[in-house]
Amino acid sequence: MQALAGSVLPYLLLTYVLSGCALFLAAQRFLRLPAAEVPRLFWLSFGAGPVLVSWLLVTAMQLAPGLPQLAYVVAVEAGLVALGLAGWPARSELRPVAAGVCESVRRLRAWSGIERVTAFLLLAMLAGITGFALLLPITENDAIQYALVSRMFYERDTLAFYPVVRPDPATGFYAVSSHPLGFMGLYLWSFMAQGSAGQLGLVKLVSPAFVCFSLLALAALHWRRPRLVTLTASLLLLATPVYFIQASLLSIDSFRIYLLVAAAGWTLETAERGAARPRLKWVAGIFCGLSMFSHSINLVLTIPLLGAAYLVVAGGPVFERLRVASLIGVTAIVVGGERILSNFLQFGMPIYDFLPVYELRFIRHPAHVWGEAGIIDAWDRVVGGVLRGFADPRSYGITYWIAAAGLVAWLLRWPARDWAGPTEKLLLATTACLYVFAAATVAAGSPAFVTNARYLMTVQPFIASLAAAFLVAAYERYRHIA
Amino acid sequence: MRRLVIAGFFAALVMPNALFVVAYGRNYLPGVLDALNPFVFPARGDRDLLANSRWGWYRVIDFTRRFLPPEASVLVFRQNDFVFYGAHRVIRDVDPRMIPVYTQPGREEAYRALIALGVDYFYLPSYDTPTQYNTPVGAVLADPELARLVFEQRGTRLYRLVPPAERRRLGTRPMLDAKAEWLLYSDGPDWRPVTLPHEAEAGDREALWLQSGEGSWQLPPPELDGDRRFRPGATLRVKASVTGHGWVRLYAIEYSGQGRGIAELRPLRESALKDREPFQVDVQFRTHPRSSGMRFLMIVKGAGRFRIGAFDVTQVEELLPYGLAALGAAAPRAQGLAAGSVLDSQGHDGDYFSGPGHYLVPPSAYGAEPPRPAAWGMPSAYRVVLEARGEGRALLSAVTFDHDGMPQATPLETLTFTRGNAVIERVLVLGPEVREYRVGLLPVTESESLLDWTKRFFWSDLPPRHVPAATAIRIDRLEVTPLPEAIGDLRVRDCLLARRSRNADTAAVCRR
Repeated sequence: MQALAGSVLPYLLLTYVLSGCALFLAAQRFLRLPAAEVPRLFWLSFGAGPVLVSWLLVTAMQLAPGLPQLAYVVAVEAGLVALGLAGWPARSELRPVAAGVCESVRRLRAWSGIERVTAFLLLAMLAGITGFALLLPITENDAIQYALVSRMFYERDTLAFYPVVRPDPATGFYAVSSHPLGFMGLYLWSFMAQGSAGQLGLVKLVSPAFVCFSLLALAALHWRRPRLVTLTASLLLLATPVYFIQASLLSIDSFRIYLLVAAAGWTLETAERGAARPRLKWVAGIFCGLSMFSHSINLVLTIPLLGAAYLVVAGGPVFERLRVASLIGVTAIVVGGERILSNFLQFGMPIYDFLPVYELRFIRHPAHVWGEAGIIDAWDRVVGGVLRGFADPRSYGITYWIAAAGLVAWLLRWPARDWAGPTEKLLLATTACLYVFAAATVAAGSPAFVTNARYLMTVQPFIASLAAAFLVAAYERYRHIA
Repeated sequence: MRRLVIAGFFAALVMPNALFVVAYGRNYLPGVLDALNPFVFPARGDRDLLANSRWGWYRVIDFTRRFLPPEASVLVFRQNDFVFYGAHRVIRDVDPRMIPVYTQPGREEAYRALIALGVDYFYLPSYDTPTQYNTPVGAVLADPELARLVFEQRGTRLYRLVPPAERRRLGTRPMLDAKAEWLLYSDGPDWRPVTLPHEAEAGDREALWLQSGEGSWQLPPPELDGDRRFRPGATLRVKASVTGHGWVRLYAIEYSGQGRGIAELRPLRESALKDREPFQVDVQFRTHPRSSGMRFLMIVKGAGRFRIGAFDVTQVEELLPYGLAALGAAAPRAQGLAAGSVLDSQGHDGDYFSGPGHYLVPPSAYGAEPPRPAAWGMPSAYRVVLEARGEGRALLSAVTFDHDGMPQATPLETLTFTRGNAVIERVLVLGPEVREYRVGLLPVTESESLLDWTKRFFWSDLPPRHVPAATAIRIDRLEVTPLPEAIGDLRVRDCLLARRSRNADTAAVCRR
């Protein structure tokens, strides 16, 4: 109980609540958004607070290595306080957020039956994920690796040995993956808060917390649409088998997927209102940078995916669109591209996941990976690889098929003329870019991207959103007829 | 009403995903859900919880923690959970230090390179990796003279690299005749009999299925081959060759007693084929303790023509761990277990365990009386009576087996014998997870601690320890009997609650 009062509660408050508030207040001071927009963008950004904590911690440890842990804790807290102070004059602008929450609670009785049922199913799914994540031991392979590396960071007070390209003398541990440190930074921060890496403890909060943040971000993305769209999109996301299981097993996916959704939200905001508020592009760049800071897939794909989507959605001359997209990209690289730089300096390439053993031709590692995934020939590579979202319902459910039906309906302008707007355009463009990337990796003979169900899940919130928007549009039309 | 129909239609589109969650989760969650035992959670750490998981790798990791020497070095083909939950220094299969091993021309050279690298054990998950089957390490692991299978749980294996000083030739016994009948299923309606080698054309996106023996795979074949019956717990070595383009899976299907069910569907090999070059399968494994029949099943997925070459199965000469009772030394009595062996240390080890066969294999695997099932979810109690004479120290211990045949050694008490007869009576309480048990008496040296003994117990290939010549203990009687029926009637739970019981009779029985 003493530990709870002394360490855990301040940690929870600082990491998962105050940091998000401080970040948004600073952004609000910078952007001066109208009051009507504040709640939507607040909930879109709220989950970036813990990522900011991780970013501050990792940056402090990289800029000033060799200091005692307490110094890094102070540095992180000082960074948050500085941000909070910068945004302090805008504190009253958070009132609409609180008022909105109260109003939503008051209006719960006005929810329709289908909204209640969907919300109930959504809460049941969320409770399942949270329960599994908190109660079960860690067993997911990549999650264990992140926990191991974070434990090594904690025990050695340094990030200098990362990535572990030389086997650890104490344990023999060897892992060359050079993912950005966002997720591991948050694990490390949790270990610091609990004062031990012997048990996972607070680390188990990370994945379910980012599932919640993802739902809030989806709500922000569909803010102007009927409430049922948000509920359905959220339910479809959580009921995606691979998402549900991976989040339950403490995988990184809920973390990186939230950041991509938040970055997409700010990119959309810039595309829609960037002409009136030019400062939006800088905030969009920061969020894209935080997304790049989460995982190698986001590091590689955030700028191409959202950059292309921005070019599709934004209005104005092409040159101006290119200029803004470039500025967003440069800002993102400055904020979250540290791993690109360090990989270049250390290995001469931006992404490094190179195992010399697999270069021995007789080992035939790619043939093993294809075969293990049941992919034998070119047809399998297209259907079971690139189009896996359609061909593998055990991993992705039927959401892809609903979204595909929605796409056809969109072309036919059914069930309503305007059910798809800029949001859907952005989501569709992002998804299309991901599939171009997947096809390119397959064409290059690499099985890495398409044989791992988690990687194609990167755009699952977007697929779920498209499917939900279509379903609700159809429902609304039919309901009115009824 | 119409709105209800619309809402139902809406839900029908959304909810199939949830059903797929269940389908997908069935693969991923059960092993870890085993850890969610409300009776032990959250008092125990994740590591202990996972030791009860049905996932074999956590059981094997638990085994390594408890029984491998701390300084042992393990070559791991699945690293992260071994490092996280284990306690030993590892070399990962993709570690660059392995390149000199992989590039050796043959098995002997690879063996020497592994010795030079300091590898003591191999940890292999239940799936294959190309660093096994496409390198000479696979050949080392397939050869019982070079690598001995120490422990296996649900396909996850722990091998020990045999040190050069302990290498010896092992006899083998062929178990499957070259002319044995196989059944092939490709794209036709039925299985058809074939003999190997055999060439077949893969159907349109269908897999080839090839099984050994006649009849349905759901039932055991009459014999593996004629009268050559394999022994449960025996080490078998399988060699085969397949040529073609695609992916091959080889399983051993083992059947439990009276052919009533499948005891184990054991994946032996999962590999990418090499197109025109024959792919050689070579693997050793240990049969299930309750296995009474076996088939092999090969599934080939791919395109074009396949050639399945010779298929060879041999039983390897018994690799008995050091210091145990001879096979079939004693059969259990109707009540409890019999005695009759002698501990006699004239510079020679002489551990004694009740029941027939290998002490790490449940006695029922050797045809012993079916185990007396302990009440599920409740502990059971036994009275152990030992009558012995001689001089020296010995450890009274129990080896228990859970429902999966997983052994667990429990030292009970160190006994000191000073010339003359001694009658020792103890109560042995077995946990609710115990299905079978053995009781053992092992001579110990003056300096040997319980920990040393425990390590030695499972680390079967340790060099012989020195037992003082003065240690010579003869067992005249060792009886293990369930505690009086009254315990059974009262249920042990009542005894556990006896503190609150006001019934004097109950309390008296429980005290007994």
